[in-house]
Amino acid sequence: MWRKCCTVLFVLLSVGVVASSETVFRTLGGWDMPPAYNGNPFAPGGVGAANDYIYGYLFFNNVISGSFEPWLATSFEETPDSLVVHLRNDLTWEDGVPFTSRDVYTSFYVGGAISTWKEVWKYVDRIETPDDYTVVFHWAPEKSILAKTFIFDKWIRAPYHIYGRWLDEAVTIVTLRKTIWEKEAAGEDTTSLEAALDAVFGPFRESLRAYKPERPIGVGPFKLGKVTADEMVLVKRPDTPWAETIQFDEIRVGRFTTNELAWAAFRAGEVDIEKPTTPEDVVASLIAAQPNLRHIPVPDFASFALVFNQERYPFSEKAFRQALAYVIDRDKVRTIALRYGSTVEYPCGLLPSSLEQWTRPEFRTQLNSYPVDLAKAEELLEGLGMYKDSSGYWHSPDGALLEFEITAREGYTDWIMAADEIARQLTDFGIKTTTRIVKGELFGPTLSGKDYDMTIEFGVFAKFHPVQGYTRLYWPTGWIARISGAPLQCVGPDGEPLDLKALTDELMATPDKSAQMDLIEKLAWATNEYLPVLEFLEKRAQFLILDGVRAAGWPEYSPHPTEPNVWVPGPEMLDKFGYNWRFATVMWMAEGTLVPVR
Amino acid sequence: MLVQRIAIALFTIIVSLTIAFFLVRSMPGDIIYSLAADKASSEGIPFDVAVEEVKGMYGLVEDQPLYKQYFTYISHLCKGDLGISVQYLVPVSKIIVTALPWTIFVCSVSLLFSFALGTLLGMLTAWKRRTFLDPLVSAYASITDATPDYLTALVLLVIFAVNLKWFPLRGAYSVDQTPGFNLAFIVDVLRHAALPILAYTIESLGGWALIMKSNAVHVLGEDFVTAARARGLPDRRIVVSYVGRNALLPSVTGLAIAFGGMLGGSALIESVFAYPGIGFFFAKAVALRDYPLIQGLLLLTVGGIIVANFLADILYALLDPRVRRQR
Amino acid sequence: MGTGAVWSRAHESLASFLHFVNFVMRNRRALVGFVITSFFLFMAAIGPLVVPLDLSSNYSERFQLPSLKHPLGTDWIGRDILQQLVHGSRDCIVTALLTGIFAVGIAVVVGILAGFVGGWVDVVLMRLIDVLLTIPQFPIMMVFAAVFRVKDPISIGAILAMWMWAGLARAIRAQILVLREREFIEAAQVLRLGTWHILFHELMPNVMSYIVLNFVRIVRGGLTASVGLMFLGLIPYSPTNWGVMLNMAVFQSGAIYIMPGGLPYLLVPMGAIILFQYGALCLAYGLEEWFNPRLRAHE
Repeated sequence: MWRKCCTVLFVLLSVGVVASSETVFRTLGGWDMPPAYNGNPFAPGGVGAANDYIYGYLFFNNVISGSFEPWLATSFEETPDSLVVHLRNDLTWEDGVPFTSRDVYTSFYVGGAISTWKEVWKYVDRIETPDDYTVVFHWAPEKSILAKTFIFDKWIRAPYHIYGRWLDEAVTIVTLRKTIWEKEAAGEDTTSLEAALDAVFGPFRESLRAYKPERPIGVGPFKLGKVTADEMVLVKRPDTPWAETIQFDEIRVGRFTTNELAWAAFRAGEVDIEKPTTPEDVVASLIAAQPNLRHIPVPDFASFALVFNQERYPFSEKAFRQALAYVIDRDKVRTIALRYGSTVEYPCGLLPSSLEQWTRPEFRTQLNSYPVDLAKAEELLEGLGMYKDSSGYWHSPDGALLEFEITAREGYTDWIMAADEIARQLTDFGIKTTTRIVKGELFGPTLSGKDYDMTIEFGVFAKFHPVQGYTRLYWPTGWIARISGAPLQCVGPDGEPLDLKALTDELMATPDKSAQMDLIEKLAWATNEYLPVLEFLEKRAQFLILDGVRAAGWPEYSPHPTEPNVWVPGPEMLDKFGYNWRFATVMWMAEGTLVPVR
Repeated sequence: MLVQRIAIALFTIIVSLTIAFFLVRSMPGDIIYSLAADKASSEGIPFDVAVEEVKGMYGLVEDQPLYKQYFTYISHLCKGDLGISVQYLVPVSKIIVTALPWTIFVCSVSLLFSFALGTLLGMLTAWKRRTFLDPLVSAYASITDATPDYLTALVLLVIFAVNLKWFPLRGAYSVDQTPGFNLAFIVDVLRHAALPILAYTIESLGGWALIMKSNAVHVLGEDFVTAARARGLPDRRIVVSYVGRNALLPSVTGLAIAFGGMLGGSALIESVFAYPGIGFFFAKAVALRDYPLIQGLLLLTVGGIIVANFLADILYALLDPRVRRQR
Repeated sequence: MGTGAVWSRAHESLASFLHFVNFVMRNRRALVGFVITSFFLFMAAIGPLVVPLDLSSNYSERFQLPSLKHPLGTDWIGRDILQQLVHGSRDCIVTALLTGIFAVGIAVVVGILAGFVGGWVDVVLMRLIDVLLTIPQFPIMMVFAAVFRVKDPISIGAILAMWMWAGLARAIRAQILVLREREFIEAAQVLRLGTWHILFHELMPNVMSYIVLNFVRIVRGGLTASVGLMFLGLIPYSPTNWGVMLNMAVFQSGAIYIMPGGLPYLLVPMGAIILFQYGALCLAYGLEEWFNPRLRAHE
């Protein structure tokens, strides 16, 4: 009996992992489980983590160094009227159909129809394809410094031979939308146009979403192999120009469930690259278990901020917001919320990683770093007529006790921790504050309904250019503008009126870098002075890579001079990880630099 | 009598589903923001761009008035049509058929293991009172009860899959295997199921032991047991025929009910071991406000629990003649 | 009633109380349970008054093993665990006890009513329970989260108890159905001892052990379920709640990967919950034997 059990156990354990003789690269990702999984990138359940391995950009955007690297396209020319893009002529889709300009055309119209793509279509009048490998984007009268960047940012996922049947409707929809935007800007009535749009868009969307191919058809170096609930296999395509240089046969993507399980996978040596948020000590223990592991924080171009509801007293008072800024120790909040983020030294709507790039040194001396200065805070509060009672708590001039709530979104534990720490710092100072967690689906309405005192939110998202952050703050459609109710006009440093929306509009349309810096400096000053948001940290993605186990030849990186268990990325790695790390691995494989360990 | 009870059970299911129907549609909240924020954060795209992408992909407008939707739902249900997932555009039944077998497989095996082991342990503890066994079992039950399931699973994972590498990290079967009735596949499935089953069993064992112990202790105090011992019947006979059979009764109904609850999926197993199960789709359905999918999955849980209760009642009446007498 | 009767009544009560004390002292299990439970109640009542609470973070002192300065070690941002444990105990234990009382109270009433009275009352109540057991919690909790803000333990206990009484009621009813047919019930009915008497002096003691066992389980369930309410936004977030401490240790701070410094943060709240439940369980078993002398007899 005992012997039988042992035999069974032995058999079970020895039929081990089916060792694949192919060279495999491993990472983690997410996708919808079968049977919901399908190959339509425009429908729910479509494509998932395979996206970056089977599709491609026209150009890869090296966000830090500011250059565009050819991928599906080879070169471009920019004129005041148009953007001409030249495509590679040696690519085919997975099913053998050649990749041509028609596919780019279809992708932009169909993608724009289903996802609006206002950041492209507001500034592009129409697209033309004079020949099979040339695409011409004709600019609209309104200009944007980011239009080209966004054009290159869009995935080419809708080949003409598959999605062409939706093309006519897509063109109609895009054209209708553009007309609506023009009329809106001119202040005209758009109701009839919107009704017409709905009439076309509804059926188009349903029809597009109903297309459920079993697998996606891509143009990239890999194609989808098998998909199960917990693993996705991407197989190298033999028929692409990159096939010769790529030495990995397979990429295996395991399901990313939670951070803790990602750590377990790293500990087991089963993942080559991912970026789970990891506390300092866990990083140390992972590296102790896997000496080949490298921990590389890279800026994520988003900030966490404390947002004030300026429709509620006393958050409507600039002095009150500034007082809070003098109380809150932002560095401590960063340590607790996201240890490897970078503290925002000057809350001004500019990310720390782009501050030096977009402002001049003389200007930076004008900025207020809001150091922890409780005396200054008290002075500001007293200036508002507030007073402290005998037990140390502050009251408003009419005697009401100052008692507030900071909301944070459930599931974003770093936000909850930040809120809790800020609440405690404020309470210790004398302003009673508690933390309230709000469920994800209720968070949006709570904020847009202005049903909060203070909240933790993303401050700015500004991957390409600071203007992205300022549109979020100062365009009436920007999320922060909508939830904070902050006024869009204010008074400048020399008493002159500042129209923040107009400044942002101007910034969006001004290509000259020096003029841009002037505008940015004005906006930064206003944000720093009026504090619609108090940013406290810039998010950094904590990349964990295994170097020398399955893959070697990662671009240059070096150990951090002072911090243990931290490595600093070289310029190539910084650029690639900053924009899109999955795609970056594919590009490095295609270059032949990222190779399997033999 | 039986027909009446079946009718009542069916009626209860309909009532529950109806209440659930209206409750689910009354859920407040805006999913566009939360989905967009998650997308923006994970894909590194600007928030506004993410909002438009999410709007394009998800978010449905149900144009029919609520009561009409309800009647459509009920009439389809009576025909056995569970509808189509409004987000995935896949028949709800297809999703259930794909996901449910795995849940049932792991949960049944775990339930049976933990029940069998736990009940034996409980019986033993009750029989051998005043030994170390009693506090040991109580302590074990307290520990596993208070330990989050997730933690037990994670610890097992780290020990057996990460450090010892005896079992795979996740999934129901390896992507390299071809599903089917071949030995390699079956062994692969068993290897993948080992840790989830172990985690589940460890967690639930204590509960069953305590219940059985409590029942057994009561039965042991009964006069007929004392009489049996006085008559000099062998211990084994007493334990099995006299005490065991009587003490097992409440547990058996508990087992039936646990089986019924199983159809809701096990969050523990699916989140830690990435096991393809009902739980994943349930969470997604709620997050996407995919009403037909939610309703379809709720049918499983509602139906499962009520049918299980129903069977448990019948079982109890069958096994215990005392209950059969009604006023 | 003359003073003589009053005196003898008092004498009776005192005697049975002393009996009880004697029983507890003799019965090892009950004693252990009593000591542990009293310890926690004491901690909840007196602790927050005696032990200071300093929640300011001290990142460099994080994940420390127990020392003189921090008898139970420090958490993931350097705060003293003992302080958090003591201050969290009051809310935790009070909420948990209230949940147990509410849930068990409702379950007992409903269960006994359904089992004893029978007939259509039984049918209606059982269907009600079935419906309650099967309708999904999440939409209701979502509606609550959007509408309510609660702060007092009574409301919290009531909300948590809402989901916990139905299963127990069912089980109690099942037990009553069995007991109802027993001879001693028949005898009591023949003797016309009155429904009230039958309910409380004949039926209840026999179901008591089951009730007590489940009371302990529900109390522990209430303790950890209050964390769920916090994450829904119904109650304000509080880092000293034992469930929250455990949650942070397991899910966020990665304490299980940090050996050995992460162990106190992981094990202390878990240990407190376990000990609390174990103590209550022991006390429950002890009380069980007190109420049901038959259980004592078997050796």
